[in-house]
Amino acid sequence: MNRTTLKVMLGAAALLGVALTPMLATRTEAAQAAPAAMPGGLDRAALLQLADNYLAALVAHDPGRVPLAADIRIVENVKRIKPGEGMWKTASSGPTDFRIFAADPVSQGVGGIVVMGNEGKPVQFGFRLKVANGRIIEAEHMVVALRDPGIATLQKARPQFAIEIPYEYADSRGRMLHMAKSYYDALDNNNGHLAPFAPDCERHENGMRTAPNGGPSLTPFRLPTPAGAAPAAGPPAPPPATLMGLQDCTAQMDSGAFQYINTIDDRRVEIADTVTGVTIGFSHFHHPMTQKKFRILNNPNRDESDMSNQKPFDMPAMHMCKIWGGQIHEIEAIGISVPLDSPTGWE
Amino acid sequence: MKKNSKAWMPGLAALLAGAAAAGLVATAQGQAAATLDRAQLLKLGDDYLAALVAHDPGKLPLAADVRMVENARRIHAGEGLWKSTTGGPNPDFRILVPDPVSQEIGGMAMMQSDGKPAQVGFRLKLVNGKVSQIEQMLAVPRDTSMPNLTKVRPGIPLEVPYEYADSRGRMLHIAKSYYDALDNNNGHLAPFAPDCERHENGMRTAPSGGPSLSGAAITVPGQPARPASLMGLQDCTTQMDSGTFLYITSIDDRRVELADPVTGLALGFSHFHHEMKQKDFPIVNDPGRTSTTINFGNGPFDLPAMHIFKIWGGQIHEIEAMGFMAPFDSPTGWE
Repeated sequence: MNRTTLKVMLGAAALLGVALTPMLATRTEAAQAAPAAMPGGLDRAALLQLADNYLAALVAHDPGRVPLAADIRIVENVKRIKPGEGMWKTASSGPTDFRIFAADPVSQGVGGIVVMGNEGKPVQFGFRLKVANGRIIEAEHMVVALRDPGIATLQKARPQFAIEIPYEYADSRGRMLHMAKSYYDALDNNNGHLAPFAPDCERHENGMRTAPNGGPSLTPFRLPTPAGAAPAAGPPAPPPATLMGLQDCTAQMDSGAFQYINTIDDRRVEIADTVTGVTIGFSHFHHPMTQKKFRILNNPNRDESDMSNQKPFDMPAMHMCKIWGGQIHEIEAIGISVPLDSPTGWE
Repeated sequence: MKKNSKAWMPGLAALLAGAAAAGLVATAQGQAAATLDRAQLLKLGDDYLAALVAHDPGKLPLAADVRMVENARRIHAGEGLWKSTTGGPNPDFRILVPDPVSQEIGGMAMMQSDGKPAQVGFRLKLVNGKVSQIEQMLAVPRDTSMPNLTKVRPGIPLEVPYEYADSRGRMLHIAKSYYDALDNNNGHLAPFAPDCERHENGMRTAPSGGPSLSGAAITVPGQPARPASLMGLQDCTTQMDSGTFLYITSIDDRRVELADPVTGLALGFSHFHHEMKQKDFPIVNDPGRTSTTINFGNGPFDLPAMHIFKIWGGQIHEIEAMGFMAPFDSPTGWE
């Protein structure tokens, strides 16, 4: 969050006046209340089965194969769709070996990121299902085409994601939600110490390893192609040799490399799977790009990031975090580039 | 751990075998076995303190083969605190740590023993709803420590909000890591919070030092207060990193089985050994001194100890500890 945003928010707070106080009070209460599993709700195994069935139903183009509520709301790439539309029509093959799931019997949510076929081409498909009384009341889809179908990182999910956490390393559901939420605070505030990143923290975004980043041996990072723009040809050029080696998740955020992210809004972090330590969060990044140059800290080779060529854009995103021992170890993220200030689809 | 702890292993193994056997019994009896929930364990903790005052362990649901240990010695009804307790607990200084999973209740309370203030730590273990082990520890506080023993630090009894409450497994792991950090002189082996504060027998021993505390601070019992120095307050992490606890040879018989995710309190018993073959120890990262001389005057000694940890948000925030000096290589009382 930069200074302009803060001013805007303070202005908004002044406008909202009294209304802000009850909102804050509600948030505090929500953070303190210990939710119990819904009586009669689906257990973890049933939720995971439902996720499998849902993906199979998409491929079969048959919404009748899964228990959809009559008033189900489905959002795909921030647009409201109906059963039979979107991936219900275009899904062409089921998940490959790239499959990451998380199920939460307390919130009755299940979701994941898989690579599957869409109109015959591989896509990353991120989704979340919300269940009430055994029926799906919300489904959120995020479909991201694979930039390079041969990319090594998307042939098979990192094996760590599926590993169950030993008893003394498994965090409570409350802690997991808190840590997954703290990721957005760290990123939005450009302060890597606001989230408990493990030294081995590794983040993939649309299959690209974006942390740890830098260092002479690594694939360079390139921003996503803005909506409507032609994709850049060929692989990004390797960076020049620098003193700076690999930057871990913490140092990368501290450096200011993500100041171009103006705000991260509509954060929905409701799924935490305490068995595998995997959380799911959906959010919506805003980048007005009114500022083009950003100061970079603690890097002897550059003190500025020049993003003059970057057009304004939003990035609805989904992040799955692998959490154990009180730290975030893996992040698998996907996102799509959409026009600035797009609606979320849930309005 | 520097000491060759082989001599202790048979005792430890026996202890572990005993615990495993108890577990097998409980498993064999399956669902029929009576277990106490958190509220029932809390009540049992209060009943235990009242039974001490009444000098009557029979007020508790004792197993036929209950074993009692006080200050590392096997005792029976009518002995130790069962005879000497004259009052208590002070309602303002009473910490209870119930654990329905391990079926244990432990805690710390200020009592009166032979008419004098007594810090009492305890742990009761239940099997099939009956108390099969009672471990109690008595420490007589110094007068100068009494201000810290009249009222429990307010943060200790507070319940932990949902998103800050650690799992039972994490709490046990974090509490155990304290002994690793201390034994290995590496403050980074345990997740100490910046606000970590430790009391030992009522003395605040961390954060320690600092110009404002010179002349009053006691970093290690028996040591003279340090003169003014560049070094300010040392937190739990840097204090351990400095090497100030190198005089602890090993910490054995670590029994960390109680964790209450509601309050974030975990409780551990352990047994410190101090060979004291060495008196001078190097201190690192302190511009005011490069070594410390440890001389408790009594040569080698043991310190059976009990620690209660307040854990939330993945970190240790408060430590309330007590211990007593025993002859070197004392048995634990559980042999």
